[in-house]
Amino acid sequence: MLKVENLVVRFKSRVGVVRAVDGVNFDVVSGERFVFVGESGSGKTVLAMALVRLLPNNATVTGRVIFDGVDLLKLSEKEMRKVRNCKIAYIPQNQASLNPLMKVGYQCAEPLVEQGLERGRIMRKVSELLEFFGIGHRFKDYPHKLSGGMRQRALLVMGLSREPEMIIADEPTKGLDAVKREQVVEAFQKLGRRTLMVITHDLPFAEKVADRIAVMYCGKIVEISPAREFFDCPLHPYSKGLLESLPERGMNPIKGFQPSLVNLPEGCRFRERCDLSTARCAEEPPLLEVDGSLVRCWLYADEMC
Amino acid sequence: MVFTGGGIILCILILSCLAPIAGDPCSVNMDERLSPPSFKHPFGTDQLGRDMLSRVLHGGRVSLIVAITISLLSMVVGCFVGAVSGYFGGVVDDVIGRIVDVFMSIPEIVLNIAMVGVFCAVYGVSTFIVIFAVVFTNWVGYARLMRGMVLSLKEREFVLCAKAIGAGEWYILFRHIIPNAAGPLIVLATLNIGNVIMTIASLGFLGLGIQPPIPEWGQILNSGKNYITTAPWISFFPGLFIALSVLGFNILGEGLNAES
Repeated sequence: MLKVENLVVRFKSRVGVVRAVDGVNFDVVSGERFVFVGESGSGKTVLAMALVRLLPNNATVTGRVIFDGVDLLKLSEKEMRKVRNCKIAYIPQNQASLNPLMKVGYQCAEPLVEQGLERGRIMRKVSELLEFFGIGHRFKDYPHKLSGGMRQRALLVMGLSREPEMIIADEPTKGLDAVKREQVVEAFQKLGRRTLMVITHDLPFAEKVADRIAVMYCGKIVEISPAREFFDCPLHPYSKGLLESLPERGMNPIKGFQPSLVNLPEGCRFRERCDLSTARCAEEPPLLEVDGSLVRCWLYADEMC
Repeated sequence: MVFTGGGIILCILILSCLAPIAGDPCSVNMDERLSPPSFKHPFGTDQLGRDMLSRVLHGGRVSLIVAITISLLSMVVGCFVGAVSGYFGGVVDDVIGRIVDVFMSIPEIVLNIAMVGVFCAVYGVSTFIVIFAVVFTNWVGYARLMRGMVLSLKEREFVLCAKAIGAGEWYILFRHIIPNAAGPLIVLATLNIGNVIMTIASLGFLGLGIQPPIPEWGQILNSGKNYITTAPWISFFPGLFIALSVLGFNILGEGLNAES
């Protein structure tokens, strides 16, 4: 359904060119729930925004984003608006995404107004959806009266109301406590089999919703695995580090810091933080296929020979 | 502060509304010319024996209506220009920015006088020309405020969200950005009405504003200046009302600013 080929996003900055997303390839099949995980600053959000072309003008995006056979990067702005309105619903991160001066219900109805539907039908549909997510009584409230979890669900309603072919949700659990996170998880589970791409650094949340997991590090995908395999036995040393940093798995954070995206180390970008690094890691590892997963690490190169 | 300022303005507004009760501002009575304040004429009479109370209150109607009209028109023009400039940026912003700079570099009153002079010479004297001339210089402040507001508002999350649902740029500008700039705009508009009252009175005083027989504060003040030693009440009362209304709008504006 969605196929991304060699996507590169560069930002010009005073210190040099930042390659926030550096040659990313992946595809999401219809009905799948594809989850991106990674540290803050690994390029997840930039990647998602690049897909729907919402990045500011100082970003240059190259590569191909094929959605239903059409390269989104080649569409005119007007056609792209249609795609954003009807086909791909991008749900921005955090709950400041609601206009403080607009009542929640009307705001959720905006995509449908844009589609030019009849008013009565729009209102009925939006109230049904709000009801479905348990915030039907909030139709005529302003966003500041809603809790973070409610706002997140309202954003989800806004995304769903237009019946998109695909939803891209950016950090839907950002800044929520455990209870409200649970509400969001429930909301996502209510979505049924819709094509979903979720970006998060909340691993427990990812475990609950994902079919497949992609791990990003410094603008590159280092591993793509089916969710069960990923949580049982992650392949890439970075993925292992991520999981081990969870409280229930020992809370051992990965040593060191993510390198600056302006001057990245040669070869494997995780090399300097990796316990298993060898001389070979000075060379850029290819994305290798191991038992149905993809991993970018030299450790698995030998097994293939 | 909001109540003090609002109260002063409300009093002046009510008095202006009640102006017809005070009689005809234009009825000449030479027998009673230059008579000091009394029970019959609480504010005295002018050199033609016209009742000053009635003239000042009728003048208030004119001054307030014209000032509010000018302020609103400037707001519409300035908001639109500033919002477009801030939202679209680039060349549009540069061009508008330079135009605004030109307006800012010339003292407003000089430009007003020039505008009134030119247009009156071409089209004859009318209140509309005064309104137009003042709006012509007055929109700049709104444009600058609006541009700044839009620059910060357009980076807000909800604008991104609106883009993500496929909304068009004008829709985002009018539906999401401009309403969120309303608070500071209302403050500016309130303070601005005070300034505009002063500008109109200044033009009136110079004989370039609203023309007789329509009574207007600045123009009445001017007509009294020859009698300032013998009949000071002719200039005193319009002057007092100008000062009070400007004060009222300023206090209200400051109060609103502190509240928001």
